[in-house]
Amino acid sequence: MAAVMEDIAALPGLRVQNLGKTYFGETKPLFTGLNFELARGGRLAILGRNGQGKSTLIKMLGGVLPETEGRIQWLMSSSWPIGFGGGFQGSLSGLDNIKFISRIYDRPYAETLERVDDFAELGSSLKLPVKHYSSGMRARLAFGLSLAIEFDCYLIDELVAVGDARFQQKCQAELFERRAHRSFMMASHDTHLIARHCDRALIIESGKAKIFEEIDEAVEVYTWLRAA
Amino acid sequence: MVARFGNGRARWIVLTPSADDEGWRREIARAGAAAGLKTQVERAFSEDAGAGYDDPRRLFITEDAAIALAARPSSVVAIMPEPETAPDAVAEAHNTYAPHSVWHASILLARAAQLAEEHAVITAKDLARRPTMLRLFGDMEIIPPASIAEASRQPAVAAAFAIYRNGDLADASAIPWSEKLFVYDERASRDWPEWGVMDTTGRPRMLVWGPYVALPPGVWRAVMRFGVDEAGARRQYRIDWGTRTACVSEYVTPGQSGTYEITLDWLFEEADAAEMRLILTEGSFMGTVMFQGMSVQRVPRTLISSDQAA
Repeated sequence: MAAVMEDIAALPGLRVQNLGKTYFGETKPLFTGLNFELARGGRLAILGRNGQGKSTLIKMLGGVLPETEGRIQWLMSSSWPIGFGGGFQGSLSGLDNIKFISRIYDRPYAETLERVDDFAELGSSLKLPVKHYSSGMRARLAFGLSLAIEFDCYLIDELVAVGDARFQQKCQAELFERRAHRSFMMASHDTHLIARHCDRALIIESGKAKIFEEIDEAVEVYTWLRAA
Repeated sequence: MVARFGNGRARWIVLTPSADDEGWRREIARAGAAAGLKTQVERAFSEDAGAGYDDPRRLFITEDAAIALAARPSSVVAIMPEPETAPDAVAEAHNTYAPHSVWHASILLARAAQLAEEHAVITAKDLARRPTMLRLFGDMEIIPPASIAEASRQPAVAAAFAIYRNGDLADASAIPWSEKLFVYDERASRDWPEWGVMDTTGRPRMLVWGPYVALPPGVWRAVMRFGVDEAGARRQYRIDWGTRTACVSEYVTPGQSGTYEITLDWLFEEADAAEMRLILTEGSFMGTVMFQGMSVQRVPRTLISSDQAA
């Protein structure tokens, strides 16, 4: 039994094989032949210039977009893309959306609500329909919900997009300090954030992707790509 | 083949390493004894006054021309049999291995070839005419031993060392330096599909360098060949040619896929290890470089660029 447990622990948490994405109506694939693994506790940066497919990849990994080819195999629980608000029902209030997510993930509603409210700081606005929220409020609710439910791996697409400086600091502390031993996949243009929190990187460029085992080298190459 | 004579000092024979070392040493010792000389193999220069360097009745054999010249000899003759076999002979004699034996052997050959400016040098080309007897210093008659050299186990090294077969390097044709003589960026070459084909992905770095084969003094023209694919053609490269301490550089961004030749000249003031470097000067994502080796040729001094001449 112990040997079996060891075997499971040795397996990667995520295995991506020959993954490709071509949007409907497009003849040219956004990327093809993407292969990588993410270890449990591993922190992978996703780097690439605008339009190369970073957000698309995050959404595919989060189950929001289907893959055109290849396979995504999760061997640990994964979040939806952090801050992703696409799953909200606009006519429902923030409270009802929290209730909905709690049921889907089989979490106690009261506890989930407390954690979301504590983090998102939306107060009585949670009673309003989400469609009346500003983009900032929507993002805070989405981020709060993402962190209210514990996952083995968090998918993060441009963390800086949420709230003011104080709120961003709060997000970072919640993610990188309180969840220091979890896995992350983070798409960002912020090379300082990437270098500080990731240990490997995947660079996507012109439809091709490559894994870099040294984060400093990946940041350096990405900086050259941006300057080109 | 008669060297200059001097007074009151020992004579020296510079015998460069070869598969025939033993036969040559034996024959030199025999001829020395016949001429009334005491023969001694000298492996390092001695500061000791009793070393015998001032004894005209002594004959020293050394593999390194620098030792012979440091001893201020009355006369020196260099014998350079079968230079292609020198690396293996050095490896055996010094208990070392490639590439160190290649570097070591080449500097010994380059220093011996440099003697040709003022002293007698008997090259493999001279010995290929199969002389029955060589007269050295006016009173020594040496019968060249039959060569026991076999085909080199390292054809690329043998081709590079062919440069030392002919003493008259000014007339020498271009000598190929195979891509197998060079050192490669460890990561770029880890999974390469064939020798010299590298993935350039990564930070700016040196992709290829070497071969540290020593060349005699003179202006040496290097023609370096490399191919790039479409992604590799968009990156900038720097090519250095010279010694380990000074060189001439050329920057190139190919622009289109294909094979390119870069020609660079460098004046070697003295025998020294030659170094070529192919450097990727910017970060690269994807891209393939195919290094195809280079050739070297000594050209007239008048062709050197004014930069280095200054």
